Amino acid sequence: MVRTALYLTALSWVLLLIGFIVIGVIAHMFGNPWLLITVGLMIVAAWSIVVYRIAEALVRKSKV
Amino acid sequence: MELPIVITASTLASILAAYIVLRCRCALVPDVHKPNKPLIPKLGGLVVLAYVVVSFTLLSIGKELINSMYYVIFYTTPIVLGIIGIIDDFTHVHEFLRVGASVLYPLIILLAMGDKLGYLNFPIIGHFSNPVVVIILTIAAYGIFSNAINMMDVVNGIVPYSMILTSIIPLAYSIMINNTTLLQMTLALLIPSIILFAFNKYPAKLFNGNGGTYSIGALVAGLMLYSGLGTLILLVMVPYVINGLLIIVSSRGIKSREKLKPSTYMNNFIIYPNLNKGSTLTLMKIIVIDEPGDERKVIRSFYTVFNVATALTILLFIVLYVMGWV
Repeated sequence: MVRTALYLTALSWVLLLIGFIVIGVIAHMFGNPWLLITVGLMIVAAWSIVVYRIAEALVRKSKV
Repeated sequence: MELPIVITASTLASILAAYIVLRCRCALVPDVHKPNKPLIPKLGGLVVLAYVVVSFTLLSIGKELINSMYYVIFYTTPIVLGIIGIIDDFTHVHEFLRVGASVLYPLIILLAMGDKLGYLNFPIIGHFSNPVVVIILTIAAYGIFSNAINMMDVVNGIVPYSMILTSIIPLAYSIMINNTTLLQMTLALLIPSIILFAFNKYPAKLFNGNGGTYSIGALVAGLMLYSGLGTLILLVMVPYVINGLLIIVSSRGIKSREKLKPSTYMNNFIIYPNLNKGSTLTLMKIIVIDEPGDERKVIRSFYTVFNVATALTILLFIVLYVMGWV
């Protein structure tokens, strides 16, 4: 019953962790807060789009 | 004031609030997922408010809050949002007013602090001391989480259960580094959540209501910002973030629950996904899309999702702690 939701959660968790690591690397390399905020917003936007598209695809696949 | 006295008094106030709400049986709403649709009081917010108000009052008497205004934000934002939520439980408060209050109140306090802003620490990322960045992160955390918790409160017990799981890492960390301030903040989330869980678990005798979900959301946002464990708390709460994202994108904006096109429907007390075009996409819909089930089955699935997110994050916490990165 929970397979699709578990897959989506685990994948989103991993993608978010990768996003944090990227922000962390940029923070340690440059240390500019505005660059960090810009990159952070881009990562959040990319994460949101990817997770939403995956969720939509999972729902479509389950309907078939 | 001594920590055990603060915790005992706050816990007793919280239990008393739960007892009063259950006895008075006011603000009753039907539990639509149960066969006989029993009427359940939806004033669980008073349980959280009682704990936070008593804790804040006793800590203020002990003058332990004066050193950092962050604790004033941590304790007063759940009170303000909890009161707005309880008003919303009786008479409808417009969604923009609710979202606005969750963002504006911490912003006003931060602006009042002027140059006394400290820094926020996030494991893996680092710390932020730029005042504008601190303000942006604060209003984002309060705005997102007070509403994300509310969006997930769809079946019995999952909000307090997930909050108990969210408290595990900050509780362990506060004990490991002997940090009483962090312990107080963690217990402000954990103890009301345990009391709520006792009454809100399936079959619920008490609903969290908007008062409960907004105040819990504000507590978890505060813990995320001021515990120094923000990234880990965010990772435990990934199911909330996914659910909020799915609802906002699929319904094209922030809308009240009544205005959303239902994501599921019930037939003979079995919950099915609503596959009509334009229906809202939620985590609950994704859970029942594999196999429709009754409320108990759906709740177990939600628990599994939260257990997995928490287990992954605890493993990450152990790795980071061993490597000295938290």
